[in-house]
Amino acid sequence: MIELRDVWFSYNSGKPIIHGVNLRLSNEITIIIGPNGAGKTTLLKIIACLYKPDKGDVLIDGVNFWKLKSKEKLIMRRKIVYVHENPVLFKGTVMDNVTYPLIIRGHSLEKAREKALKLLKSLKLEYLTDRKRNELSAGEFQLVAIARAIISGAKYIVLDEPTSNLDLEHRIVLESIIREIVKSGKQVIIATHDRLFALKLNTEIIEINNGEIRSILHSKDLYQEIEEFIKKAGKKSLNS
Amino acid sequence: MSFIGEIIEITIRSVTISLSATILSSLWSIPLSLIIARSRSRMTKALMGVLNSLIGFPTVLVGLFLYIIFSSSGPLGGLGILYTPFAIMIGEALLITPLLISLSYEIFSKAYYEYWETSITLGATPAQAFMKLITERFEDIIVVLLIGFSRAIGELGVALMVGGNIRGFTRVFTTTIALEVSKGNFDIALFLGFILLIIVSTTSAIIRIMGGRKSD
Amino acid sequence: MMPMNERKVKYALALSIILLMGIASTYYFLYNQSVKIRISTTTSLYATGLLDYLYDEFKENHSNVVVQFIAVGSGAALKLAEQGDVDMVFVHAPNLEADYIKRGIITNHTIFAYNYFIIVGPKSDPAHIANLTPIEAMKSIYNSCENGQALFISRGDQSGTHQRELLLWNLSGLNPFNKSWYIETGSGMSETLLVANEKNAYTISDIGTFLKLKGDGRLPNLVKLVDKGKILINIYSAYIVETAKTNSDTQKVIKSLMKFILSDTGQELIGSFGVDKYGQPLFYPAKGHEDELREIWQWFVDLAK
Ligand SMILES: Nc1ncnc2c1ncn2[C@@H]1O[C@H](COP(=O)(O)OP(=O)(O)OP(=O)(O)O)[C@@H](O)[C@H]1O
Ligand SMILES: [Mg+2]
Repeated sequence: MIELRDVWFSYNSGKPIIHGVNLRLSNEITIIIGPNGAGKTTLLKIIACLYKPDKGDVLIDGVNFWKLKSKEKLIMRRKIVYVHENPVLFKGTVMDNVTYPLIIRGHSLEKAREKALKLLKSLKLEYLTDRKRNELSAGEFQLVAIARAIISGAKYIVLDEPTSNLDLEHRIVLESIIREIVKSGKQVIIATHDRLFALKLNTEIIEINNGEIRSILHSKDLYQEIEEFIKKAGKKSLNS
Repeated sequence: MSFIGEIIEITIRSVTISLSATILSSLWSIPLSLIIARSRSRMTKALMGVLNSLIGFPTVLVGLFLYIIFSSSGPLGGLGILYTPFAIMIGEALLITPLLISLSYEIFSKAYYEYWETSITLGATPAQAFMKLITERFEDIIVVLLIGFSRAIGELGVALMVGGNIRGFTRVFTTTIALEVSKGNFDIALFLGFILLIIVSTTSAIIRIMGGRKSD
Repeated sequence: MMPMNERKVKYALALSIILLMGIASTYYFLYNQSVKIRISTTTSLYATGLLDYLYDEFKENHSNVVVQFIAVGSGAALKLAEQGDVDMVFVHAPNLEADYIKRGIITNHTIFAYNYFIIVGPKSDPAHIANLTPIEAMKSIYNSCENGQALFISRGDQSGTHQRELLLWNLSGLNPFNKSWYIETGSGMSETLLVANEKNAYTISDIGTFLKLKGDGRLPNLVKLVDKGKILINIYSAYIVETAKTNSDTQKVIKSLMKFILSDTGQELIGSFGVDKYGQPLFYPAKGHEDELREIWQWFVDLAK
């Protein structure tokens, strides 16, 4: 379980972006929503232990991360993986990228390749194996980044707007991947603007705004909102 | 030694010293710039301002400062490196430090910073993440180093103050040019200047070619 | 460029560090091979090439000795001695030298050569100074400058040459400073001579730089007008630095270098240096004039007081 206790955070400007957030992430899947600039990305990076809070604690499985020594930090950090909203891939092929988390964990190249190929196959991405990063579509790019995160074996997988470039078909692929992941006892935390996707995952939703938690909802609560939105939008476009 | 022989010797020495100085400087400048780029503190902005203003610092003053330190009555006099190529090397390495930090900060502070974050979150140790970052921005870093090299090989103050322009030992391009001018040997000075120009412009041609390429 | 991966970057890093250490140790090895003495000297003396010329001869019989000349301004040359960074100094600024002798920084005062500063000016010589004594010449230059017939260019950089110029004005009882015809270049002898040539002006120069530039055809408008007189004598002295941390090997070499410079061979080399190039010597050996030169040296020290 990941827990945030009274977490405060500010960028260089000094203005607090996250205001005293308390949060316990215990569900298999947690979704974070909120308007642009609400602080979702910032919060996810704090959860992923990439940003150190100015004040407050981040507990991973009950361990206070920022109080650890650097060696222990490495072990702890390997429990969490974060995928950027605009992820970057490294130079080299998709294969090189997907094997990277294994190589740095000391796996042999052969073993790493074998595992990577298996994963890519299960994601129906094996046709990309030897492509370079500039030979991928935006959606393929995003999926490769997610695959690279999954292969790390991290227990907590944090995805920042993972569906932003995915078509309907690949959203379904991603959904099934997520379901697959949580089956093996892992936890997924997702920030998204994609209401339909949030709805489909059918889980707890944390709504944040201005760096604070506004409410804790459930996917079901989105149903009404979406319905109303469609009605209104539909009417408007018909009227015009 | 013949005139041409001496010029070849000076060329080799100048390039070696300035190249070593650049490599030496990069050993601390690049990690430092990464640390600055990673820092979220407001102090870093101020620090970068200071560093940027140091880029144009008069080289003679850097030379004088180092002379005082390396002089046998100075704090590091015991090392005995005053008036040796090492002194020039160290002096030039320090001289180009603000330039290297400032330029590599530009590289690291942009989106490239994400490479570090990505490696770290994928489970890399800081050393592994550093290697990844360097690999990703290798061409850019070489460009930065070549700019540093051009600055090092073209400066006079440090080479003169701590090198002493000793024939066959610490005489480099710029100090030779200064000496030949004071001798009234303008032709030789111009010829040396021409060689220096060729070296520096070849360097910057390489920079342009490399800078123009996209990675991959 | 070939595509990089981490392994290649690691190799590049390792390679450059090895390269760095290789260069360092090579230099270090070469550096510790021989007995090394350092001599600070004034740029104008070094620039004539005399010192390298003498050293090349000296090396013939002392192959394990490395002599390193550090050419700086007169004041800096002595300052380096004070800091203990050099083993010997070769200078030509009697009043400065006396001060350092008094403070016990330099010893074994040895006059090894002399020559004359020269007053140069336009071919037309509007002040009619040719064949005058130096002091009379300065007075005459002053007058014609005041009448708007001439200009005077000064180094204005506190160099030995500049100091001598100031002494000349002082002894003439004249004050040219702040006059519109008195131009300070604040730069080296070559640059100053070129300015004088452009402006058809008078100036004071050392003989070596003048002959060099004249020989190269860069000073078509200038001629040497006054080159005699006690007050124009330029005395070159060698000293041993007391503050240097020398060992007995170095001391031996210093002694033999001193001996060599004063030896018949050394003195002959000094007297013949530059004759092939300029048709006249740039320096006169001190041998045979030691007492006289020492008196003049002292006279300069007293004058400056
Ligand atoms: N590096 C930064 N430096 C300074 N301010 C930042 C930085 N990154 C984000 N911010 C600010 O912090 C606030 C929260 O940003 P954040 O990226 O967390 O929002 P978000 O909820 O992810 O928005 P979006 O939906 O647009 O991705 C915004 O006001 C943003 O301007
Ligand atoms: Mg965001």
